[in-house]
Amino acid sequence: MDERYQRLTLFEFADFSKLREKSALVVGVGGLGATVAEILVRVGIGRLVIMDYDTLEMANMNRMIYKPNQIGKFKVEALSEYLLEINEQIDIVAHPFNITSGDGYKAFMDEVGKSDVIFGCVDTFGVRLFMNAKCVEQKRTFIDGGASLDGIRGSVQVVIPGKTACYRCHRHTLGLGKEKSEKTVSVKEDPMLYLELEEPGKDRQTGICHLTSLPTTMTIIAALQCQEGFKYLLEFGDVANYLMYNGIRGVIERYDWERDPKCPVCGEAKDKLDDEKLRKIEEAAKMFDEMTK
Amino acid sequence: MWPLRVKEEKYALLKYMQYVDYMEKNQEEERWFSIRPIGDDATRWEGTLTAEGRNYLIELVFTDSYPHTPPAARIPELMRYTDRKLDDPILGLRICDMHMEQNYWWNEHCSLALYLKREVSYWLQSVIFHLKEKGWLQWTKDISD
Repeated sequence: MDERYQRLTLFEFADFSKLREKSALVVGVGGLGATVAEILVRVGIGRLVIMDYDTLEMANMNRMIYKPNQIGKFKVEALSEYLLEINEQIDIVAHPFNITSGDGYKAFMDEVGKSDVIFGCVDTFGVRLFMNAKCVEQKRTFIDGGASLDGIRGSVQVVIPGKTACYRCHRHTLGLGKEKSEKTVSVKEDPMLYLELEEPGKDRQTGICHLTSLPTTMTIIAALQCQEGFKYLLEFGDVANYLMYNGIRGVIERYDWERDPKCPVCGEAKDKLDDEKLRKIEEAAKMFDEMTK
Repeated sequence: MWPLRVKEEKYALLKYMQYVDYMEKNQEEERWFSIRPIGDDATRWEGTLTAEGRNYLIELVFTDSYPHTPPAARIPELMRYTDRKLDDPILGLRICDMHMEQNYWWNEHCSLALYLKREVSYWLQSVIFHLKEKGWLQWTKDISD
């Protein structure tokens, strides 16, 4: 028995040594992802893959792990060095890629297939949707974490394909021409919509991130992601579909969304483009051609 | 797969045009954007963006590697004014990076429409605002000439 895991053996609800057989992928290693990765390494995950194309800047230093002498390095490179100092037994793979195109896309798809769980720790709504779709496609559990624009609230969503609501299930506003959900709720009533309305945060001109980022909120959300991840991987407790943390009020609330059978990502009819829909699309395409001649 | 995607893009653009017409109540006037595919395979699209009475050319290039590679987009006249440029050797273009273009590429029903709505319009307005603020924008010649 490795002494470093001794206190984990006292945990009565699950056997943490089973994590040695598990593989996790962490996408985005900023304030959230670096903390998620550190927790996974400290509890002895078998294989850890980290992906992020960004490099370190001084503006990253208000959060955990990174040091000023690492500025300019790829985040995944700096994080790997740090993690291996903590636990050299972990198989760590670092990809300094953008997961949405080229080599990064191929590596991401490959790693998703090899991973038992994928942690989404990105700051961009579109990339969350992308990761959700790809994880559902490959039937891999996706645990997304995010903080609000003001830095004091955040959420975690656990997507177990085929079992829980996916990240897209309750975001009907995205699809143009889509039918509205029967359950219409206002922005105020639906915390997911409330979070969604907050635009991802880089300045269009400079590329500099202007989102507030509190190390406290980031650490809380990262810890919640890991906790749900352990429950899923080690099969204990009751995995929450959606957790919302409100640091102003000091509460964590749980929601369990129902799956949307018409969800374009995980719904049963997602791949079926029926004749009626196809006819409408073709008619509209012809109309578009006429209008733009 | 690609021909169906093209039809879906047109469908979404048509819906977006209807939305713009309704929201801006400008059925009588020209919309702030126009875009159409060049050629039957529709792998290249061209159009114009209108801001403050001036037209700017916009070009989009779709590769044949759909869906893995997002489209390259550029507004030639304004490329020198953005900090975010990327030379793409495969496409032979200097891409004016509008920051999130690839995020719209997998939205299976509305990538172009959503991209125009949520990125391009904002980007164009912000560039023009910036240029005016700096005093760099001189309307002595039509940029679209």
